[in-house]
Order: sequence, then structure tokens, then C-alpha cells
Amino acid sequence: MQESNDATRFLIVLLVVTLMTGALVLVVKSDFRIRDNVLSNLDYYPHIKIDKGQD
Amino acid sequence: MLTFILLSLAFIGGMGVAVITGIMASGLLLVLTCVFLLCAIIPLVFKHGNILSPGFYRSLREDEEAIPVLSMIFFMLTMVMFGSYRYVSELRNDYATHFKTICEKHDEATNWRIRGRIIEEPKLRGDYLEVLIQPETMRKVERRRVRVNNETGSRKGGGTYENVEHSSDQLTVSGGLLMAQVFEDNEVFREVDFNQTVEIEGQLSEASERRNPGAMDYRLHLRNRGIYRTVRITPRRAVMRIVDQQDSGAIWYRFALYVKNEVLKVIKQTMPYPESSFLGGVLLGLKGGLPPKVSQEFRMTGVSHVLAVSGLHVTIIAGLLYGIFAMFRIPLRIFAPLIVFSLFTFAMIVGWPSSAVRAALMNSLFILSMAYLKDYGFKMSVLFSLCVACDYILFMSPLQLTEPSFVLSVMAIYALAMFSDPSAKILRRMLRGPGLAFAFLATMAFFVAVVLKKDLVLHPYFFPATFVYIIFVCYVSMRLSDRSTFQSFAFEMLPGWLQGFLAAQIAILVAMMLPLSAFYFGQMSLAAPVANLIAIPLIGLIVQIGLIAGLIGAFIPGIGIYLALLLNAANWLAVKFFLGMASFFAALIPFPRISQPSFSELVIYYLLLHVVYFHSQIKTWVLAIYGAVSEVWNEPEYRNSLSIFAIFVVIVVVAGSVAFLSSIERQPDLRLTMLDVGFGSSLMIEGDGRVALVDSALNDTLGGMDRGERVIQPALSGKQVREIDAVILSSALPERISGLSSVFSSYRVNRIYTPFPLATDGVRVDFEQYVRLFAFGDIKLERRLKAGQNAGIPPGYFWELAYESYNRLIEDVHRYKIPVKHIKAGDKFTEAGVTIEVLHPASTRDSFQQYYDGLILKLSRGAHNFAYISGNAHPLESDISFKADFVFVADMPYPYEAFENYVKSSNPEGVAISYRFPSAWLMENYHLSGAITSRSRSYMPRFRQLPFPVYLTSENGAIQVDQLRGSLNTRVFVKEE
Repeated sequence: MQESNDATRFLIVLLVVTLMTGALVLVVKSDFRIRDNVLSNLDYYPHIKIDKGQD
Repeated sequence: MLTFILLSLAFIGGMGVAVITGIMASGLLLVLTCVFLLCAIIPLVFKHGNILSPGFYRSLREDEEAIPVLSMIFFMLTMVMFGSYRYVSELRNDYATHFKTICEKHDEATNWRIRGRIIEEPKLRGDYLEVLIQPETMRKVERRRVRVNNETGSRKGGGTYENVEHSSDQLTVSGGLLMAQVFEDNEVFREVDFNQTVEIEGQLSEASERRNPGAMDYRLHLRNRGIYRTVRITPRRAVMRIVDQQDSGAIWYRFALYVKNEVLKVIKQTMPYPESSFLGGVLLGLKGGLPPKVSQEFRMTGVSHVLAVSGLHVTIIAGLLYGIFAMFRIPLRIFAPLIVFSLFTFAMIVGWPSSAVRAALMNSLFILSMAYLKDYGFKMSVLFSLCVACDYILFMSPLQLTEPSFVLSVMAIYALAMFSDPSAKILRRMLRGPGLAFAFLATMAFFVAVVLKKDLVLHPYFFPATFVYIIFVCYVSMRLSDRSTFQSFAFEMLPGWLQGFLAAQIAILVAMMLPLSAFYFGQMSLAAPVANLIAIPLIGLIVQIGLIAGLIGAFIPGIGIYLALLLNAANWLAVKFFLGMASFFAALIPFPRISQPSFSELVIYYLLLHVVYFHSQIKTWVLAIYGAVSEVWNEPEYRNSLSIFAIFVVIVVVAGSVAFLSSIERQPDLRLTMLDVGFGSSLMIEGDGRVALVDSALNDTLGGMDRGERVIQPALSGKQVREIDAVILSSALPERISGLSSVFSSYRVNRIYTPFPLATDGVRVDFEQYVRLFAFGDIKLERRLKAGQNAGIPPGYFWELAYESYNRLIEDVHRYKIPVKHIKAGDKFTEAGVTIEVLHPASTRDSFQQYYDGLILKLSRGAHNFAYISGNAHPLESDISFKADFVFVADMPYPYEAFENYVKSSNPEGVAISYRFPSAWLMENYHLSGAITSRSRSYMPRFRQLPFPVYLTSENGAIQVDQLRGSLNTRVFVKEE
């Protein structure tokens, strides 16, 4: 029981901290957008195509 | 459980016996398996009655010693024989319809049309896709240009021509795989996919076998994956057409691929390159897209294991799923099968590598035993599940046994299971109060010394001294800790998870990473212990966030991709930190080469390690066996039987030792190896336990191929060499000197001999000075210089490479403080047990003629003389008269007639020529490109007419000449068929 409580707490803390940090990165780094990422990944596994219409 | 572990070990041991002995008698092994099985069943039946009787299984379950010792011995022998049989039967692929058999029956130049199915998701490898095809049918295709209409009536030409295709009967193929390399400039590059039926037309190639000492055997590696031929799909060589897209196939596998592709799409949208390639690598096993620099930094810091999706990743995912299910208060008995399903799906997603399959099996068994079975203890459970995983993998694909990835993966778990607890005990005893302080300071001192003085790792005694230093630090720390009464400043005060983590790191380091890294790769990352302390917790975080983001982005419509972007934005920081950390440690801490230990040395290391870690248990076992034997010996009726058994054991041990000792290759008095370095040359001289090099091959920076790193270094690391006595450079051509730079970074070089001027002050020369120092026979350039004009810039890549290599040599010689000796005709010196006499060039002119002033050397030891000719054969016409027993030539000799007259008068036992056709980009705009290529074409048939063997590195791989008991033995690495 103790173990599962620890795991739950860890997951929740991880998610909250991650979301807050992610938001901070998106605010500070203006080129961190889906369109820019897709462009920079054009030659990375090119046969896996991205569906149009995102972002 | 112990019985199962022992039988598993016997099964794996049997495969090991087949590998070591090379036995191929599968029929005999199968018969022996049946005989031993019968022998094992008889005592069992005597004890418990008939196997088919109703009470047999009950009596077996209730009996504490259910299997008699004799049965157990025969069961183990059965498994040994079965393991050998399984391995050998996998190697036997000589039946008529096997892909390999069909290909071998035909000429290499045969043009094939093959139809087959793509059985795996294509993998990106640099600039091409690796596609694995199961051939179903194949036929020979010949195309001829035939005149169909001769209106002019001329015999010689005119009229209308058509391409006529003639194809042989269709052959059905069963067994064996074809690997197609689909390059970017091909139409199907973006279309090719799993489960398609494709048709390939073109010539097939067989992968290169081991061409140099210490090199990898790529053919063996592919054979272990079931691949027997490769084909390059480029517009000129072969064509691939997609014939059909099948939706059939295993649903589970298709589901795994669907998940993989969807998660990859999310990664491509939510993480910029190159961070996306790292996340794709650690999450989906897609190693292909990672920039080469990052891969190199990972190797240098010993963290590349994070890219080989392994037990670490599977355990992280198992932990994540466990946490999620526990969060929703779902009982373990219900979610255990779901975790098992997810883990195997993950193994499929990452391409079903043995490491991930092993980890998925082990984690599943562990979780299932936790949920449904009684607890056998952690160590026993891990060993049991490891045995199940190994048995499964090796039964399905026995050839995996010799693959480094399989061995590394299994040994990592073995190290964790067996050595973590004892390591924790040692750390607890060692790291307390003053002992902890001393160990910390000693470790810091070591790293500071290595960082500040990087050349330290090149010292011949660096590794032995480091080993002694570690033993000394451990001993002193223990003594200090033992005497101390200090309790609050100790390893024990750390949180339990941290103690466990540190102990596991030590266990992995001593029982897996250090010995196996040296054995397989001949390199040892000094940064690994430090970098992994950061890398392992960090990778846990990256994989968990990446997986959550991937699944949310892929399967929650609308908002999912934006949530994934948010999560991966945070993950991007962690990935950036990881890449930065690897880059930092790669730049800071050196990555030295180490002599590769032999297999027997590795076995001795592991035996000693077990003795050190488990000496008390071993002592108990030895005393118990001794007591039991003494007891039996005291009984007169058993004494004779025991004596016979003892004699039998002694005979087996003596016979085994004799067989082992006779298999050890006798060390020759002198060994000269002309390495296969492609275009360029390098001759390795070994004598009296020392090594010297003549020339050091090409570092083609544009082609990304450094032969010094790829050929010379592995050859040296397999030789137990700690330093190079001398490097003799026959001329300053880039194909002779540029590979030396990477050799300098890994080995200490004591001296350099050159016939050309080489400054030791480290000051680069400009191109103007360079062309005045060296003449390449470029008449236009020489005319310009004579007219007082400026030399300008290097006119082509070859010139640029030559100029840069020379400057790099100047810098390296200064940096590593290597003495340089200028040599000319008449000079004589001894290196690596060989007397070397310089026969040419006679004197140094203002300008060193690269193609005419190259060295001609006479190498002598005992009654034998050897000649090393740089390429220029003019001096052989008049100046050189000694008779060589073997002739080594660094290039195509010119003029041929002078060379032929000399070798015919010498009548050597053989001639070894280092030559390979240079790449097109190397010779672009180079004034001698025509001469170089035409010589190779016209000389080949003439070599074959000589009355003694002429070996070419392009055909024979490395050529090794041994002087042993007054005779010469020649060995080529690639035998002509």
C-alpha cells in the first residue's frame, strides 16, 4: 500500500512540474511550435508523414 | 527452480561448446540427446515407478529429492547435447531451396529478379533505409541488345536494336533473408513499408568478412540475424518495385507498428531536431537519425546503452504502468496481464531486439510471480526469469549467443542480481568517516589528474597503475573505516534507494561494463561511472514523460497534440541537458583504448571476481564437498569407485588442458602484417613483444572514413600493445600519413622516422610553403611557381587533404612531444626486433618528390630479408640488389618493368601490394587521377603471370607474414574462392 501511494504521489508531482516547466518553455521559446518542429524534422524518418492541419 | 536454472545453464553451455569446438555433426548430437535423455529417465523410473502410471507425478511433487543425482547428471548432459544440436542445426542451411544455397550456385555477377515480403519495419541508417526481405521466388534475368531489323545489310552495325530479356525458370526460396539498402535518391525511399511485397532486380552482394586483425566480421553478424545477401537499391545498381501491400500478418505486430508510427509522428511535431532523434532513439529504438557527433559522444561517455532499448527502458515503463494502475487502486492480480501485454507490445515497437525481449520476459515473469506465485526471494526470482528469457531467445535464434548485444544485456542483469548486494556491503564497510573522505578525495584526485593531463591515459602502464590505485584506495578506506567510530558521516546514512542505485552502478561497472567493453570494443570510457550517475535517473524521466506525451498526442483527438507539445517542451529541457552532459564529459574526460583481453583472460577475470565477492560462500561449498568426499573415502566399499571417478576427472582435466594449450597459436619470432586500409597503406611490424608501423593509411574526412581509427587501432588493440615503438612514414602523401592522428590520440608513439622535412615546433605551414616543400609532379603548378606566381589555394580535395594532413602531423608531433628522426639512404636502425636499412632516397633535395622520393626499406631479421617499396620502382633498376624473401609494396609499383625484373631476380615467397581503387571524390580535379586508375587496370593481369603468389589487399584483405622457426608462413584474411 505504501509503495502504491509513493508511486501515485511521484506521478502526480512529475506531471504537475512537467506541465509548469513545459508552459514556461513555450512562453520563453517562441520557435517551439508544432509547425517549426515539423519543419526541422523533415529529414528525420521521412517516410513517416505528418497529417496536414496541425497548429 | 534451482533444477531449472541448472538445466538452462547446461543448455546455454551446450551452445557454447558448439561455438568453441566448431562441431557440425547435428545428427550425432541429436542421437546423443536421445541417449542421454533415456539414461536420465531410467533412474527416475526406478525411484518413482512408471512415468505413465497415475501416481508418478504425485510422488514426484511430494518427494523433496525428486530427481536422483544420476538422473540430474544425465538431464544436464541431455541439455548440453540439445543446446549444441540446436546451434548446429541453425547453421546447417545447405538444403537446395535455401536462399544462400541458391545464391552460391550462381556467379556473383548474376542479375536476379527476386520477389519477397518485407518482414520488418524499415530502419533508417544514415542516408539509407535498411529493409529486411523474406525472398519467396527468384529467377535469373539476362538482358541482351539484339539487332531485330538490319535494313542496311551491314554486318558490323546499323539497323534497329531492341533489349531482349531472357529469364530462367522461377525458383522457390525457403529460408534465409535479403537485406536491401534503399538510398534517398530512389523513388521507393518514402514509400517502402512493412508487409509489402516487393520485387527487386539487380546484383546481390555478400557482406564483407573480417578483412583485418581485430576488425568486425560483418558477414558473421548478418548471418546471426539470418541475412545471407545484401543489395544496394540505387539507380545504377538495382531497382525495387512495390508490388502489393498486404494487410494480413499478425494483428498484434501491426498494432505495435501503428502505435510506433503514431508516437513517432507526435515526436516529430512536438520536439525539434536533433532532440527528436534522441527521444525517438530512447523511446522507440530508432537509432538511425541521431547525428554522428552525438553517437560518438555517447560512446565516449559510456551512455550509449540508453539508445539500445534494454532492460532499463522496459523496467521504467513497467514502473510507470505499475504507478498508473496503483493510482487508480486496481489490484495487481487484475492489471498484471495488462502490464505483460504492454511490455511485449513495447518490445515489438522497438523492433524485437534480444535485449528488449529479454527484459520484457523477465519483468513479466517477475510481475506475474508477484501477483500469482509464492515468493522465492529476489535473487532467485531474477536468475530464474533470466534463464527463462535466455532459453526462449536462444531456442528461437541460437546464433544470438555470440552477439555482443545479447551478452551485454544478459550480463548486465546477472551483474545486478549477483553483485549488487555484495557491492553494497563493501561500500558500507569502506565508506565511513575518514574512509569515506579518503575514498572521495582519491577519486577526485584521479579524475582531476586525468582531466588536467590527458596524455596520462596514453602511458603504457596507465591501466595497470589505475588497477593498483583502486585496490590501494579500497584497502586504505576500509582500514580507516574499520578504525573509525564515526557513525553519522557514512554511506549507510544515505537513503536506501540511493545506496541501492550506487551499489548497482558498481556491480554493473565491475561485472559487465569494464570487462566486456574491453573484450568487445577495446575501449574503456573513464567518464562512464560519473556520467551514468546522472544519465540513468535522467533517462527514467525522459522516457516516462516522452511516453505519456506520445500516447496522449497519438490517441486523444484535438487537444492531445497540444498537451503533448506542453509535456515535450519540458522534456526538451531534459533532453538538452542530457546531450549537453554527454558532450561535456566527452570533451573533459579521455576515452582511451585498452588491449583487448582474450576469451580465456576474460574467464579468468570472472572467476577471480567471483572468488573476491563470494569467497565465504565458496569456502563453505568447498569444505562441504571435501567433507562429503572424505566421508565416502572412509567407506572401503566406495573407495575403488571414487578412485576410478577421480582418475576419470583427472583425465578429462588433462585432456582439456592439452587441447586448450595446443589450440593457442604459437607466437612467431616476427610478424609483418600489410593491413587492408583501402586506398593507402600501412604495414604493422611485431617482434620481441614490440610494435612498429610503416605508414598509417588515409583519413578521408569527406567520406567520413578514418582508416587509422577503423583499421589500425582495432588491429593494435587486439595485440596487447601498450605503445608503438616507431612509426616510419615512407612519404608525405595523405594516404600514408593522415590516419596517424587518431592513432596518436590512443597510443603513445616513441619515435617517428621520415625522409621528408617535418618541423617539431608545431607551427603550421601555409599552402605556398607546402608546395615548395613537396612536389606532386603537377607541371602546371611547378611552372607557376618557377614564374614567381603565387601557389593560390589547394586546387582539389586531394591537394587539400595532403596539405591539411601534413599540418596536422606537425601539430600532433609538437603536442605529443614525439622525437622525429630524418632518414636517408644508408641509415640503419633497429625497431621491434627488426633491422631496418634505408635504401632510397639517397639525399634530400629542396623539394621532396612525393612519388619519386618515397622510402625503399630493407627489413632483416635472422636469415630473412624483406623489402618495403613505397611505389616508385625506378631505384630497383640499378640501386637495389639484395634478394628479398617477401616484398611489400605500398602502392601500384611504377614502372612495372623495373618492379617485375627486381622481383623475378629475387624470386620471393610472395609479394603483398596494398591497393584499392581510390574514391571518385578523392581524385576529383587531381592531375594524376587518370594514371592512378589506368595502372591498376593494366597491372592486374600481369601480376597473375608472375611465378610466385602476388597478394592484393583489395582481394585478400590483410596479408600476414610470420617468421617461425626459420621459415615464412603467409596468411591472407580473405581467401579467394
